Amino acid sequence: MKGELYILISHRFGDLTNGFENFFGLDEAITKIGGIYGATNWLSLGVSRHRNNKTYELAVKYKLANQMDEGFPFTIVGYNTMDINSELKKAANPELKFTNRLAYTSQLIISRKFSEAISFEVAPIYVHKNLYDDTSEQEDLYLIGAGGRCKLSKRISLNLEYAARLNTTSEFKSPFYNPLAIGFDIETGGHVFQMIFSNSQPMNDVAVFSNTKGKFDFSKGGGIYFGFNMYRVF
Amino acid sequence: MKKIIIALMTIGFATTFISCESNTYAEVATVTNPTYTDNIEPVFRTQCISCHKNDEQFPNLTTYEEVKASVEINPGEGGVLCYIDDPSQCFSSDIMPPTGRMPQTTIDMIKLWKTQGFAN
Repeated sequence: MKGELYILISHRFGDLTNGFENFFGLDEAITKIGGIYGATNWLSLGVSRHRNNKTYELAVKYKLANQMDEGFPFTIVGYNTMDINSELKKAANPELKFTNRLAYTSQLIISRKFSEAISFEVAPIYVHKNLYDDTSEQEDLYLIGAGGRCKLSKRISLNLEYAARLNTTSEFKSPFYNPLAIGFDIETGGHVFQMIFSNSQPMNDVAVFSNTKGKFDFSKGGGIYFGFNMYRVF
Repeated sequence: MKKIIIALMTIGFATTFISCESNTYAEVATVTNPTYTDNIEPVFRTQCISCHKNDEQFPNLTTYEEVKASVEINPGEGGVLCYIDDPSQCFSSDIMPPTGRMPQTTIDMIKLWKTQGFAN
């Protein structure tokens, strides 16, 4: 909403399937810290800093259409992020240009609230990297994402999110997996607290969509990361 | 409102133009004679020593001697090259650094540094 500022702090712990070796991941937390500002009622701007690649992520989200009771059936939102990788070193990459540090995601999030308790969304997603490892990554990646939310009580909801990569071809064997996350939102007047299990430890959109490491498998090394997000509105 | 839309469109177009030119790591990582001071130390400083210092995590990787000693170890017997490249060889499922595998070009540069005799 216009004029509101959200401060957010998130952690993802290490791979919990490693058990006591890393105390179910708690030894290896990574952090995201950032803010989201509502410039108008239909536009918000975000900045965040991620441990992964010492990334700064700039984000812009804008509402294009609103679901109406007796009218248009969907809410449509555009969402773009730009990552700046500040960890890349000239020492290891002498030909590095500033633009090589940038990577982008674009999403069109189409959502519908079916009842007070249940909402769904579908999102075509595009990821572009100005620097990529051609042995394991792609310059351009297309995904189709889907998510759902089910309110369990007045303050608690269960959320699920998945995205399928569409252009990982058979001759190109990607070492990464499709991102999957399941979590609970707990609203506590002024705060939103989210607990989440994901197969991606990094939290920036580029990494979640294109560099998800975990198989979401309960065997050792299966790659399940527990974490939480905290939002505070000012 | 109008101004914001114009600003957004400008950013959008600028972004599209910048995005046109992509490079691979192989194209930008063109180090042929890596030395510890110029090439290796910056990698270990940003990737490793937030933990591998002051005996917090074995081994320390803060000096030329420490880094050399660990890179010297054959991958099958542990050491840096095992953990950053193929940790299944050294009894661990965790890749180092824990935030994710380094680009292959950086791993190859460290191997090249070893092959060429650990230039300081």
